[in-house]
Amino acid sequence: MDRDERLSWARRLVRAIEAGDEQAENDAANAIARRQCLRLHAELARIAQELRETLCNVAAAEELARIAHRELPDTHVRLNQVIALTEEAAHSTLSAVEASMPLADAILTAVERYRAEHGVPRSARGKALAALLDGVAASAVELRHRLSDVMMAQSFQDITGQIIRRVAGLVADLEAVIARRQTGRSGGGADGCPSNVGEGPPLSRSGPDVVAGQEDVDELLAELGV
Amino acid sequence: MNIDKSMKVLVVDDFSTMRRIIRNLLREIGFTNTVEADDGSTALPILKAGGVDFLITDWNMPGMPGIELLNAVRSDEKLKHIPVLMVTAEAKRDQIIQAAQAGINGYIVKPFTAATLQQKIEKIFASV
Repeated sequence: MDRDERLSWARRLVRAIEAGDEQAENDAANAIARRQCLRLHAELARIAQELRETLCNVAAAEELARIAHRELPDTHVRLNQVIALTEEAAHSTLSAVEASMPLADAILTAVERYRAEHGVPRSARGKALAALLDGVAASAVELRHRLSDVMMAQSFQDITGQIIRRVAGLVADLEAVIARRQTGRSGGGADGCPSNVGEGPPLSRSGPDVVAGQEDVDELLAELGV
Repeated sequence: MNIDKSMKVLVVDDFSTMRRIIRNLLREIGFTNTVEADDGSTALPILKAGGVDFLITDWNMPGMPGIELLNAVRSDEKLKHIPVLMVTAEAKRDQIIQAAQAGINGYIVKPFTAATLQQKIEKIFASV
């Protein structure tokens, strides 16, 4: 309702009172009141919206508090369990490999000793046995290589362990941030890690600031004279 | 090449599996005199006690990281001659440059192969 309209209703109201026209007086008064009512309505809607948001924030804060107090410490424990379990599994595999390698070596030694003791075979039977032993020795050598591969594959535990530790660190930081929010303290923030601590395994090997592999490292070191 | 295989090698890594793998690999290439530590702060007393001829260290370790161990070794009159090989998952170019400037003798990025370890050790002892 603009100014002219309001003036017009006000004049009609004055005229109606002067003329003693009750109906016209009511109409004019209602028209003016409706405007106030609309404004009030808008204000109420705004307050209702704010109330709703505040209630949601309270619910979110309670949810965050629950996560901070129960879920995050649990997550920390679970991540450490993963590290411990994979470490244990890797050690079991390494024990099996360490026990198996001497067996492969023993086979090789036995074949070599037999060859040394019996010299060049002359009979058909001796030649057949020599061929058999050649096969056994070759298998033992291959077995040793494979066992070495199994051993190297266990290095996954170090790399995944480093990654999981970083995630566990993030969880601890998050826990601290939420705890600070709960107690209303601000500022602080997690301590910045000094760069000397290390970055951990890279997320990707394709970035310009990361080496793609050992060849890149060798190239870079050669440039630096190492 | 003639490397003295009886030399004492200190292997520093916070993961026991990696220390075990490296010591196994060293045994395979003939180095049987090995000791281990789980970070720089436990490695330094072993180094200072004397007798270590070669240091293999990780970078990222809680406590004292490998780069600081390297700095400590290079700034100690009695230790600074010890060849240092870094075996680490740290793969930033800047870090490799930092390690080179700190006086590293070799740098192996994880995951690595047995052949790479042998090759780098041979390279280090060919030049020292």
